[in-house]
Amino acid sequence: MSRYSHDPASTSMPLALARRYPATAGTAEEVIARHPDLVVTDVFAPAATRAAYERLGMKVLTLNSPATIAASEAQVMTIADAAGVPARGRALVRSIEAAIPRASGPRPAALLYISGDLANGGGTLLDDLFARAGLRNAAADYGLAFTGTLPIETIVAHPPRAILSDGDGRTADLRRRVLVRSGAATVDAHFPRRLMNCGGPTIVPALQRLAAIRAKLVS
Amino acid sequence: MNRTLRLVLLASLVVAGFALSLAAGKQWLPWGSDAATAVFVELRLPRAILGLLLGAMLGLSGAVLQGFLRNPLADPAVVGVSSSAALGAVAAILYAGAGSLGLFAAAMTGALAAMLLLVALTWRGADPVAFILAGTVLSSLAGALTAFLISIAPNPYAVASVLDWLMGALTDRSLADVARAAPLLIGGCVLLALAGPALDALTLGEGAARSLGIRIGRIQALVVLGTGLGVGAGVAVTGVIGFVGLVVPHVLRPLFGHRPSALLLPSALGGAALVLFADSLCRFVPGAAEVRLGVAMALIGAPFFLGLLLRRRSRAWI
Repeated sequence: MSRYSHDPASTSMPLALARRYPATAGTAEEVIARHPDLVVTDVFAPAATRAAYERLGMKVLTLNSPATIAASEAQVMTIADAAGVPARGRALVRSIEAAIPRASGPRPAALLYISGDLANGGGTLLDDLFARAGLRNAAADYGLAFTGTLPIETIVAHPPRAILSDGDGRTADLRRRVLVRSGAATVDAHFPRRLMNCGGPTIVPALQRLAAIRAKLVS
Repeated sequence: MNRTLRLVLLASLVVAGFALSLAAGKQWLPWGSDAATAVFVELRLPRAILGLLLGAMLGLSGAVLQGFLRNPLADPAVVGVSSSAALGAVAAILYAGAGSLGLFAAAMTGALAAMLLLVALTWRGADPVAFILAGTVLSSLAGALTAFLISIAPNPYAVASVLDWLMGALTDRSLADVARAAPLLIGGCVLLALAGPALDALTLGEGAARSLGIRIGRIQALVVLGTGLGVGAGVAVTGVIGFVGLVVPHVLRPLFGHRPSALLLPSALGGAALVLFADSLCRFVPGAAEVRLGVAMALIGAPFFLGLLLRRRSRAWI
């Protein structure tokens, strides 16, 4: 398990559950020492580390970062198949499909800060979750192609209906003050960090939270 | 063209840069609307004021350090204060989740620690080589500790915030940031300006300067304190912005002469103009996000020094 799973700001699992398992910093020797049946890694892991797994003949599953719900569901099945539990994979995919709201009507623009002043851009899994929950990603409207920072004046010129975050970044107070002074009716909504980090099982509560936020905005 | 006219031209450039900084933006809002007033007062005015003060500070400190160390490649980074202030800020972002005030306090603590270490390492004598070596040690140490903190960061989002902050920017700074940094930036500039006459004497050599009644230790203290306060405050509100202190005195020396004190005011004005124009240009780049000012300055500074190198090479036999 990645060491990030043991950090409250990065984990997608309940911390108590995550801490039952030993974590690694991702170095080859830590992983090899544990003799895993399967190593699940990603394309951003250092090439040297992945080469070390290969040299030792370990069974490795290299995944990409899913940008859509469909891609995340495909990953769930890939992992379930590799772990020999395809039925559990299919059950999780069914629960994800069941959690997708049947949203119709207005699509309020919302901006999501995933951490500090980093706004979630277009082409990400969270962007797809927004769309499926009946929200419009304001960052994509502003032209933010990837996750990054947005100048406050860009937000003030076209204020979103809601700003979602899990705590304030450095410029949050200033942003709020400028928005209020400009007469914008933007509301703040809480979106927990643990729903932003991964796909798979977290998609279900993430969609539920987004649907609840949308319901408040359109009511 | 005489010196006064050149100074008036530089001052006009600063005024034009300040006006451009107030007018330029990703958004062109209808004048008089609530949104335009909010953006102008809360965002562009503090940004322009900080650009003016920071640029003046960086340009002036570059000219003073080049004069004091008799080294044309000296700039504020040489004394290690900016790296140490950055270290303080990075620690605050990673481990305290600091807001603007906490980040400012942590960066100033880093700058203060660097100043004390610099004084401790160089108090026995005012040897420029020892000064540069001490600054290099501080800068390397602070850089290594910053990299270490990033490498053990508990979560990847904090790392992204740190990297973004380290690139240096004037985007979304508030009047509160101005209120915190301005007294230190202005105080730093005043202290550095006081060193002017002594820098002229130092061009004759340390021995001659001493015989003229210059107390080298006092000048060194002025330089350390002025650079530390000003550059520390600058880094604390904007992140690391390099090259201004290096480039500006080089550009202005042929126009204002090689006497160090004659270069101080022009360098302050030139630094302010450069930062104001560069920061305005950062906003014209297509796309939602702005180019970071630190990145823009590096993109301006590196070709400048390449040009300088090629010009020198064309004079040599190789």
